Amino acid sequence: MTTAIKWRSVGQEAKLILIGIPVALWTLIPIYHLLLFAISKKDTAFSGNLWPSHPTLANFGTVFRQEHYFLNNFWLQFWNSVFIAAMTGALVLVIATFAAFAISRLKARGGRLVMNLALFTYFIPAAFLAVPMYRTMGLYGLLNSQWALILAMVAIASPYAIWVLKQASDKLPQELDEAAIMDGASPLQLFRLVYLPLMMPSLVAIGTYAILLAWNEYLYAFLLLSKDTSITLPVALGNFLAADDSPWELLMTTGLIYALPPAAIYYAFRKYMVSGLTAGAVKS
Amino acid sequence: MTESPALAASAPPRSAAHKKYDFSRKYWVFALPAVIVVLSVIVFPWLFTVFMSVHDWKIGGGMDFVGLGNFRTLVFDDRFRESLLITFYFTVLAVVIPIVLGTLAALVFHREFPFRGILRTIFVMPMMATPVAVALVWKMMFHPQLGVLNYLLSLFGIPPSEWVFSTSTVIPTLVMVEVWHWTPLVMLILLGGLAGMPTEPYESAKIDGANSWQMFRFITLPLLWPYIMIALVIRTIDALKVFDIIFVISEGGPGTASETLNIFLYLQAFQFYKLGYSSAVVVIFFTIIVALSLILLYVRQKTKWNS
Repeated sequence: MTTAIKWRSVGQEAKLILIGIPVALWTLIPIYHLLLFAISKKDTAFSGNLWPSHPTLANFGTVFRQEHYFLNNFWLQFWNSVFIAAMTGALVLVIATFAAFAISRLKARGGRLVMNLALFTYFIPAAFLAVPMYRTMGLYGLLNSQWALILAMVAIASPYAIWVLKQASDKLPQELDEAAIMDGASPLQLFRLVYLPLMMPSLVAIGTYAILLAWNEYLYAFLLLSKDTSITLPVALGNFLAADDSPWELLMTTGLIYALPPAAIYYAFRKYMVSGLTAGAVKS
Repeated sequence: MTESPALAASAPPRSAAHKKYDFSRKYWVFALPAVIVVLSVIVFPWLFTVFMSVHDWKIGGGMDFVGLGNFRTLVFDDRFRESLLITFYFTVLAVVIPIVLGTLAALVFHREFPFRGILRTIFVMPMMATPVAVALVWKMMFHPQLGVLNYLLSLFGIPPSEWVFSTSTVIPTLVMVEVWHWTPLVMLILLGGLAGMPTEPYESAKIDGANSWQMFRFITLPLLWPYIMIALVIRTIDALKVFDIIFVISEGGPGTASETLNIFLYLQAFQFYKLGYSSAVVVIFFTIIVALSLILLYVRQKTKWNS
C-alpha cells in the first residue's frame, strides 16, 4: 500500500519535472542567446553552435574602453542612467511617503480624491503623456537636461507609489499612533520614529519600483534627451540598433551590461517586490 | 477634520487622542511635495493638452485655433481606426495568454517536486529583464537568416517563419515576447493566492471521491478567482501601456501592421509633427479612461475586493 502511494507520487513528480524543464528552457533561450553573443567573437555567434568555439571576454573590453564609435560615451551614458534612476527613486520615496503618511495617518482632507486621481493616473499609458510632457518640459526650459527625465519619471511613478504606500500604511495599527501622540510626539516625530520603521518593507518595494522604472524607461528618455552625452543607455542601445552596420556582438554585450544592474537589484529585493507591489490590490 | 462619508465609514473610529491633538494645521507640509509634483507635471500638462487639441500646432511653427477640427479629422482617419483594432487585438492576446499560462504555471510550481526551486527561479527571470534589452535580443532572434528561432524551427522540420517581418505574424510574434516577459508575474500573483488556501475542502472532496479536474474546477478556481481578477487588471493596464517592445522591434511595421494606439500617437506627434491632432486623440482617450476608471472604482466598492 505505502509503496503504491510512493510510486504514484514519484510518477506525479516526474510529470511535473517534465513540464517544468521545457518551460525553463523556453525561458532561457533569449537570455542564453544574449550571453552567447556577448562572449562570441565577431561573426562567429551566428554559426548555430550551442557554445562558441572560442569564448572570449574581448567584447566587454571593447565596451568598457569605449572602442567603437557607437560606444564613445558609454560610461557617461551609464552614469546618466544611474543618476536618473537614483534621483527618481529618492524623489518618489520622499513624495510618496509624505503623501501616504498625510492621507493615511493624519487623515488629510481631500485624501480620497488624491487616491482616486493617483489610481487613475496609473491607468494612463506613458505614450499618452508624451506630447504634453515634451511641450511642458520645453516650456520649463528643461529639454536635454537630465532633470526633465527625472521629473517626468517622478510624475509617472508617484501616483502608483502613493497608492501602494497608502494601502500599506492603512494596515498599520492605529493604536501605535495614539500611544505616540499620548506621549507627546509631534507629527514629524510620529513620522520618523513610528511610521518609517514600520513601513520599511513597502518603502524598499516602492524605491526599487521607481528605480527600475526610470532605469528601464525608453520613450521619455528618447524624447526629452537627444545629445549623445545626455542620453541614457536604453536610448543609446536603440540608436545603436537603428544603424544598419551595427556590430551585433557589441550591441548584445552592451545590452547585457545594461540588463544586469536592474536584475541584480530586483533579485536582491525580490521578496519585497510582488507582495509589496500587489499589497494594494490583494485583500489580506 | 471633515471627510467624505465613505472614507469616514471605512476608517477606524476616531479616538480621543486624535480629537485632542488636531494635526489638521500641520499635515499640509507632508502633502506639499506631492501637490507640487501633481500640479506641475501632471495637472498642467493635461490642461496644456486640452489647449493644444483645439489648435493646429506644429513643432517649430506657429499655431492656429481650429476648434473641434482635429476631432473631426480623427473620425475619418482610417489609420486611427486601424490602430484601435490593432490595439484591441494585441491587448486581448497579451492578457488572455499570460493569464492562462500563468495559472497553469502556478498550479505546477505550487506542487512539490525535485528541482522546483531552481526551475521556478529560471522561469521568473524574464520579469527582471529590462524591456529594451528584451526587445534587442528578440529582434536578433527574429532575424530572417541569422536568427536562432528559425534555426530551432528547422530542427523540428518546420519551415521558417517571417516573425515580425510579415503583416500577418507581427502581432502574434510581439505577443509571444510579451508572454515570455510577463507570464511569470501572473504566476507569482497566483502562487500568492494558492499559498493562502485552506486544505480542508480538498480533504473532504477527496473523501467524496472527486477527481483532480473536479477539485480544480470547483475548489481551486473559485478560491483563486480574486487573484485571477487582480492579475487580469494588472495585465490589462500593462498591455495597454506597451510601447518600448513594439517600437524597438517593429516600429509599428511592417507598414502599419503593429501600430497600436501608443505607436500611432508617437508617430503622429513626433514623426509627422501633428501635435494638435495627437493631443485630440489623447483628450478623447483621457475621457474614456476616466469613464472606465470610474466604472472600475464603482465595481471595486460594490464587490469590496479591495476594501
